[in-house]
Amino acid sequence: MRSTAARATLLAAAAATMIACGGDGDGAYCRELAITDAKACDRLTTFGLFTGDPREQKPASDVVPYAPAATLFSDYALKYRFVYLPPGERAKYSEGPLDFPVGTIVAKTFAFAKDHREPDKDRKLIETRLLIKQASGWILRPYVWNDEQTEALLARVGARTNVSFIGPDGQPRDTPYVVPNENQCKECHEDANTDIVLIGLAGRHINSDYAYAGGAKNQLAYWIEHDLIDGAPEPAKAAALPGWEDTTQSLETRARAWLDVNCAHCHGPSGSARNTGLDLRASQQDTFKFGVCKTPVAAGGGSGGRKYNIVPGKPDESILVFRIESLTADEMMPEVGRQLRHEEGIKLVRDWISGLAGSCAN
Amino acid sequence: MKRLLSLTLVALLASACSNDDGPTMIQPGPDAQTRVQQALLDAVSGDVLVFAEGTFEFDAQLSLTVDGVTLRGQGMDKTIWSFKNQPETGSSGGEGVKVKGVKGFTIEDLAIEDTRGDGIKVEGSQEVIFRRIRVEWTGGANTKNGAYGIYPVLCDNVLVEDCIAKGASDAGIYLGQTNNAIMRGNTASQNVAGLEVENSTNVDVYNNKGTDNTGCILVFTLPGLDRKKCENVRVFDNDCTANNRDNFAEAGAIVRLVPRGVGVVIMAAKKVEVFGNTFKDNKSAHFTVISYAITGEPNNDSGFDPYYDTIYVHDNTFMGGGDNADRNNLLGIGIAVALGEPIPEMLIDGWFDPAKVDGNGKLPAEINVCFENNGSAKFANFDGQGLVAEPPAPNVSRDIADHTCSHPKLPEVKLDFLASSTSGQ
Repeated sequence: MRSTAARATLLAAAAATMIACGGDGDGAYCRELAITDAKACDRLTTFGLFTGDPREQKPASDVVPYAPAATLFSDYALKYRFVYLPPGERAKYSEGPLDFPVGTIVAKTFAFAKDHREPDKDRKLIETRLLIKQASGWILRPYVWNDEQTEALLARVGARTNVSFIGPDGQPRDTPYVVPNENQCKECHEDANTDIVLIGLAGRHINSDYAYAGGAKNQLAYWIEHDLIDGAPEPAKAAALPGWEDTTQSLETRARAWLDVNCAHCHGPSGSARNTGLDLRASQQDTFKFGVCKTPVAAGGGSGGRKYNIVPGKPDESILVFRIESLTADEMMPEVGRQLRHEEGIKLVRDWISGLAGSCAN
Repeated sequence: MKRLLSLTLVALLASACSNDDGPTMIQPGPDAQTRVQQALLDAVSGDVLVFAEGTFEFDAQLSLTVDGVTLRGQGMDKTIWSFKNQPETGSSGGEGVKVKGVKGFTIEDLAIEDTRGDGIKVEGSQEVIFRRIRVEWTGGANTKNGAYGIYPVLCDNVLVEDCIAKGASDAGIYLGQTNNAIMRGNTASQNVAGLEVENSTNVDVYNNKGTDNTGCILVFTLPGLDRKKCENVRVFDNDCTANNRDNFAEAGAIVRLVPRGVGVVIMAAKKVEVFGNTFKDNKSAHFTVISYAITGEPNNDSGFDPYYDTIYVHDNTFMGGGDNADRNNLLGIGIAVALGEPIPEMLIDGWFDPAKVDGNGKLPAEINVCFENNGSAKFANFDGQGLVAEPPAPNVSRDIADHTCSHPKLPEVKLDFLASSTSGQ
């Protein structure tokens, strides 16, 4: 369907880029090409994000690894996150998603090790998801790794596979794993205006330490020091959402952080589940809005026969608990990206609800 | 460089295969899931994807986020999208088909069967047409079926016409939080609610048939939603016959409150005109207007108004029914206790907004609930407030005098985009 003229432009652009990069056949030419046309960039290696054996997930010298303090559960997958900024460019700070310049590439690799108590051994890469900032906004692209672990190929329709691993709790697990298609990526990454938005690369999420190759350091401080960000306050004065595992925090803070990072990208005022009226952002102070004694709206069988989203003191009567425990399509939450129960998160939410005071009608 | 050249060659070949003269026909068969999803991802605005006769076997959700795409089959009994292989676990996505955030979408002449969750959900979109599609759970009514068959939500300018919805465990055709919509010529059976309009404005519901559902047509306003109001709704020339199926919705779902054997139920809506409908053999109550207050559910939504007013019910035909109220349902029991069989054809709970009533507890004329020209149909105000008191002491009134009145007719809903739409009539 593409016009001949556009194809010619594409070819010329690709060729020019390769010459400019002194391309060796692969190189990193898609870093530029993908800004205007990502269709030709169907191999992950053409982005030049990693160095050495891809299984090591070592970033190229101009690629920055990062990790939010509170992480989204994805079937216990190991995750490796990176951001590439075009030379000389900087992100703009925000407590929410950072504002990145055109040409930025955000990458997140999902992998499983044989035993997640030893995540660096016998690691298998499943997929790497890219977010590429074009002039008109972010685009999403899932890439699936080959069996040889040498290349990941574009899979706009997603993929399915099976994974077996020993979980962090020592329990063996065997589960189907779904690589989302591009539209499913949008389920989490889309706001009310259907613009694609970042989730983990938000100021409040990266105001926490990361174990860089040169040692652990606060990420915001690292970005300021390396001139990667404009307008960032010093970490001590910047917003921070703690990790839900952080036992120095209160139970409430941890549970709300877990709900925030696992649910609020949809269950927030601009998320795709905003029609439910449920707002699970940690900053939401109205108890009804975050689910206390709130009746379901469009849950169908997802209510599990329970009346209210959260019943104080009664996790077994709370729809929210039913849905994060369910493994059945149309009941489970989140709707995508999960085939297993996050036992640690469930316990946290249960403990928090158990300690809530009050009651609902009837 | 060699790789890039071969890549370009592939692109050229692929484009040579596409047919600019007309849409390509997508066939059923192996890899239908991948092929159809790829087509939905690759579609560009204005594309018509045509699906051949036969059964497409899908095992996961299909999704579309491209503006202006038409999905067209060869007929609702010829092109079947079957989701019966969607696994109970290990799937992803609750709905069979999901469309989101688009301007312009048409689906016509095909069937969506046996989805794990909702049949087709179209969210946050404009200019949406569902035409001659069938959404069905082929095993019949079952609590485990998906909640909604045809499910536009948070949309603007929607047409649902000549569709069939069967077996939904909530509403067969559900219009949620939508402004400007027409639902016409549809048939709903074996659902809990046949058709439902919820928190939507400027809606025409006409020439539909609802039979063998728990309830035929619901016009509901619920708290806790983004769009708060349900008003300017016209329900006319519909046929609600023998909707006596036991309520099979999941416990906890708000639609559980609907007794089996009801025709039209209006809850907490305003500016609703109900006329020219035929109600036949609905055993609990043909026509009922209730406040949200009677549900006993909490209202913690300050932007939500739980009361109804400005309802105009005229020129309807009532036959049979009212002979056996649902005693497995709180509202059904309430109606039975307050009124006993035969249940009058036209009921209100009389639970008005205390801030709007006059000194005698009556709604002012301009926002009253009005009945006119409904043949010999009988009326009752069953006093919802008295009914839910402890002990129940409903002060029932069967005198229609306070509600014999009329309102100006509501305006017709116009969907301007249909004039410029190229598909269908």
